[in-house]
Order: sequence, then C-alpha cells, then structure tokens
Amino acid sequence: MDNEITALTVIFTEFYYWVTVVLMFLIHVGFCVYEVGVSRQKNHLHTLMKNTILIPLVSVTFFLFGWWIYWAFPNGPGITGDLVFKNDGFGANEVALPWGTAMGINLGDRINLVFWAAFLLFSWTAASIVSGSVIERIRTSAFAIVAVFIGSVFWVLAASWGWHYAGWMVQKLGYHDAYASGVIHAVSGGFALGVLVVLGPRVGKFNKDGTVNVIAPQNTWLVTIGLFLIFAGFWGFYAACNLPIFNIGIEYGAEESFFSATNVYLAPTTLSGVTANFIMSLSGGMLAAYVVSRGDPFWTYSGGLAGIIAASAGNDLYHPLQSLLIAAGSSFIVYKLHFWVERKFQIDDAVGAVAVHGYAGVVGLIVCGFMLWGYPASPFYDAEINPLGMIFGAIIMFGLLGFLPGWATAKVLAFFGCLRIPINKEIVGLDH
Amino acid sequence: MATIDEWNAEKLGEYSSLYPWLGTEILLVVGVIIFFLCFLAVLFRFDREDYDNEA
Repeated sequence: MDNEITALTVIFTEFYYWVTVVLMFLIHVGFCVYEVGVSRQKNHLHTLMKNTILIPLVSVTFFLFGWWIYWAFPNGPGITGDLVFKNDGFGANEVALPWGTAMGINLGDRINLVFWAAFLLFSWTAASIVSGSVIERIRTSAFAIVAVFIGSVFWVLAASWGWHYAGWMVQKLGYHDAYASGVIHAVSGGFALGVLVVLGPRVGKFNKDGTVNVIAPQNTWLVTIGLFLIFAGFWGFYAACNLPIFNIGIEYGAEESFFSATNVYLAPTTLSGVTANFIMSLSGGMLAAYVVSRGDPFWTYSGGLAGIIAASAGNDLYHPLQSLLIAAGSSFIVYKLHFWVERKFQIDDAVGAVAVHGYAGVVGLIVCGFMLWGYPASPFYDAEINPLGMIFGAIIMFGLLGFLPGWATAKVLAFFGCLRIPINKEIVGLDH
Repeated sequence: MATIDEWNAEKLGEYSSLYPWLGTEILLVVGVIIFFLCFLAVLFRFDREDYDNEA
C-alpha cells in the first residue's frame, strides 16, 4: 500500500470486519446460554457441550472446504457457468484453497482471512440454529455431522447462490437477501425441520392421543440473557453483511470516485438507515409477539428475533416503519405456525428454531419480493427483484438446501443407529 | 524455516506470505484432516460407550 487513501480504506475495512467477528462471537455465547436455559437440569451439560463443540468442528471444516465452496459455486454450477476456479483474483483456487498462500498471514492480502472469519461466524450461527431444536435427545457425535453439513456445506452453497454478487439466483431470479433471511435463517430452519422429522420428539412431549405437553424453559433468566446476547451479536452480523467503504463510482464505470457503504451485492446503502431498520424490526417483532403470546417472555424475545430475521431480506432498502410492520406481521405468523405444525405433525422443536429462523426467513423473502419489486437485484446484472423469483428463492433455501439435506443426513445417521440417544438414557438424563 | 530473514525497508512492498515453513501447506492440510477424522472417530466411540454398551 503506497498511498494514504488505499491504506486507510484497506486497514479500516480489515479492522471493521475484525470488530464484527468479535461482536458475532456473542451470538454463539447467547445460543449456548439460551439452550442451557431451555433444557432441563438433567441435560444442561450435554446441551452446552453439544453446542460448544460445533465451534472447532465447523471452524476446521470451513477452513478446509467451506470457504472454497463459497467462491467456487456462484454459477450453480451449470446454470450461469462452470465452477469458478479462477476469476481475476476472486476464484476459489485463488483465495480459498486451504494450502494456498492467501489462507495465511500475507502482506499482499489483508482482507481475505478476516472476511473468512466473518463468514465462519455465520457458519457457527447456522449450525447453532439447528442445535437448539434437537436438544435433549440427539447424540453429540450425530450432531457433529449435522453441524458440519449445515455449517460448512449447505448454508455456504446458499450464500454462494444467493448472496455472492454474481450468484446465479441473483442473476436469474432477481433474488435479494441483504441480511440473510433466506441464506442463513431459512436454510438452517429448513435443515432443522428435516432433522426433527427423523429424530422424533422428546419422551413425554406428546401424549398417545396426540395432545401436546408443554416442556417449558427451565431457567427463564438464562433464556433472557442468552437472547439479549444474540441480539447484541446480531448487530455485528448486520455490520458484517456490509462493505463499510467501497468506491462504487469507479466500480460502476464512472470516471469519478464515489465512496459508500454497500450491501453484500455491492449496491449502495447507509449503515445509518440499516441501524434504524434493525431496531424497528426488533421492536415490531417484540410488540406482536408480546400480544399474540399474552406476554410470554420466551416468545416475546423469540418474536423480536423473528421480526429482525423476517425484515432482514430487504432491510438495506426498507423504511424503518416498513421494517417494523413487516416484523410485526411475520412474528404473528411465525408464532401461530409453530404451534400449528407442532400439533398437526407432532414436531418437537425445543426452542422454536424452525419457526423463528425458518418460517420467519421464508415469510421475509416473500414479503421482500413484493416490497422491493422492480429494484435491481444487483448493480452488475439486469435482474429485478420480483415476487415470483423470491418465492422460488424461498423454496430453494428452505426446501432444497435446508429440509432435504437435513432429512437425508438424519436418515443416514438413523440407519446406522447413531442418531438418537436410547430411551432409558434420555429419561434418566444425559448428564448422568 | 524462516520465510523472512530480514526486514528490508526498501523491499517492504515485495513481501507477501510471512508464515514459516512456506511450501509445506499441503502437509499441514493432510495432518489437520487426519487429526480431525481421529477426533470424529473418538467422538463416535465415546457415544457408543456411553449409550450402546450399557443400553
């Protein structure tokens, strides 16, 4: 770096992502605390260690192949092109081979590994979403496989297809998902549902006549602290979905520089407006959830999270009051859907992760298709955001990259008898 | 062993990789894969011992 503007831009960007990584660590702390608060006392340690061990498991595999998948698969492959091995310095083999020099301390590249770390924290979140739904009956070894698949393969594919500025879904469907309603949340929620269908409910959750027994969170205070930590980390998540400073004037072909923060598609936005949208969508989700759950703490906090997740697809462009209303409506739908699915299909989702992340993500994508109809999906391609493309995108995220792989993974583990803990152990408790 | 043996002020712009043992990356990757697979094997063994052998 031989001039001050370049040095300031690069080092500011490097430090910016470093801060987002630290903030996002709070998401995982929050998930650990929250899951322990939901689980019964006899399962506290097992629940904690299951979620903790995903940190190294996903980190190692994301270093070995997850990052490579993101850069290799934006074309499908085969839909808009082949696997992207080389692409003017941004191909998979140029930035993400685990034995490549870009994957080590390198004075010629100050962004790659901190960007990798930000994506890795997204990966932990994806696996953590699944973790909460399966507590108190899945084996740690089975969850290790589940975590690697969702954290280092399937959500990464989703990001490559729908989050990469040249992803085929962006180009062909007009898919827009600025803060990952679909790319992380719908995918992980769908994956969790797929696993839950095979895994089955906890002992005692359903009676023989099909009625539901409530297994309430065992420690409301831990749940509260956990969800507030997740909210805090979510700020970092939002920040990490932006480029803090980018010369879009030159990048778009103009002769003069124009610097701006951008969304993940390199389209301009303001961190200022996005901050307001985050707060208003949290508020809308909480207000609606408080009403619909009659002040239940667990669902009021979860509704706030669902509200943010639903508004996230378009929170780079919405007005704050639009974010609030979208979040409120989605939070209401999510709450109702959770209990309907629980009763109808006897799905025991211990923390409501399928609803809060999966259904909220799907609703958010569909709403975004209508709200942002006509906006360019990317500055570099002609595709416009449209309802049909976003509905199709939601199906791909929740169904194709979420539910199906989750179901198949759990089926294989169940076939070999290593998915679920034996019933006598489950009754006694996993910490004994 | 050392990739950089002198911080030459005139050549700072030419430095890239700084980590030691440059060129041994594939061996490192193979080693980590073996370590990772061993961990998974142990994890499955722990669960078998905890749940299946006593069930």
